[in-house]
Amino acid sequence: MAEPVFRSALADAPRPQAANAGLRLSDRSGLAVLDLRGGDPVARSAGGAFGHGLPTDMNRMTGEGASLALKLGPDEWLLLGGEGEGPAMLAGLDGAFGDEPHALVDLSMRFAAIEVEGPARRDVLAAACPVDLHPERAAAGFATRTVFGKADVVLAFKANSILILVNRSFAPYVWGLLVEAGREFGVAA
Amino acid sequence: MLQIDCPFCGPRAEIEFRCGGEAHIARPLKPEDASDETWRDYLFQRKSPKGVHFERWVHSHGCGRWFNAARDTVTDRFLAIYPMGEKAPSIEELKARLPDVGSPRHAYAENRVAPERVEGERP
Repeated sequence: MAEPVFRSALADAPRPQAANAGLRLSDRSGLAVLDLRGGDPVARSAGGAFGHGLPTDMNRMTGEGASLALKLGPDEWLLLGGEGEGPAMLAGLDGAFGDEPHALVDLSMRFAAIEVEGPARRDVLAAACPVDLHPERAAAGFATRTVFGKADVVLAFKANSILILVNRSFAPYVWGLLVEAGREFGVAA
Repeated sequence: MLQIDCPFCGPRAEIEFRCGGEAHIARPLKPEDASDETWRDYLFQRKSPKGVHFERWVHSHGCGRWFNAARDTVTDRFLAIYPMGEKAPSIEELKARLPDVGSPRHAYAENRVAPERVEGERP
């Protein structure tokens, strides 16, 4: 059987030139995304197998580097990993839950990922996102599903950047909207 | 922009939500015995009150959870948000929580303070 070939949904997107570095966009597509559904015991079991504890409070994120866990719903977590790590993460979590009812699905191929860096990142997101993006409300460790323009996105706030996960088919739209909103802050596409 | 207080995520913008229509519509327990009128009422008959309306809402672009809400259709104010499966609060109870429910003026009176008159200024 032929191996699936990964091609970023943003491979043909125009690469903006950051004139004054107010905003930097990077394509992070390909990172591993696992969706975990289940109760709190499932989250506790997953913490041991995942390497660090899963968040217990809504809209919080734990972990560092590429290995992140986001709590997006009362019984829903997204587990992120580095590029191509999905199968290994699935294997690592296999059997971790015993008899606890749960669902664990590899969604890596569904998502495109965009990392937004630079001092203007909150202003650019605010162009089309209704969430309160003030640094006090959306500090590092905040993560939520919301809308950006017409697209359903997941936002993960890191210390110096914001990671946007979006369905593949919507990725060029979100990228274009970010570039458009970024023109005010020195981005030229 | 209307803010809706999601029981899991806190206050969020209305565009993240979707309304699922009137709440507390019970399917007839024995559909095979239900009369045409009962079935018609179950399928099609919905309230459209001026005042308190009990509705189902879902935070579709958020945590994805459903919840019930009591909304004043005149002022668009959410009077109560309570879990699915729970009995609706009585309108009397809601009225006690917020006097003057149903009057378009109550939102105005609560949200806005009349500007202070400065002596000598034209009204």
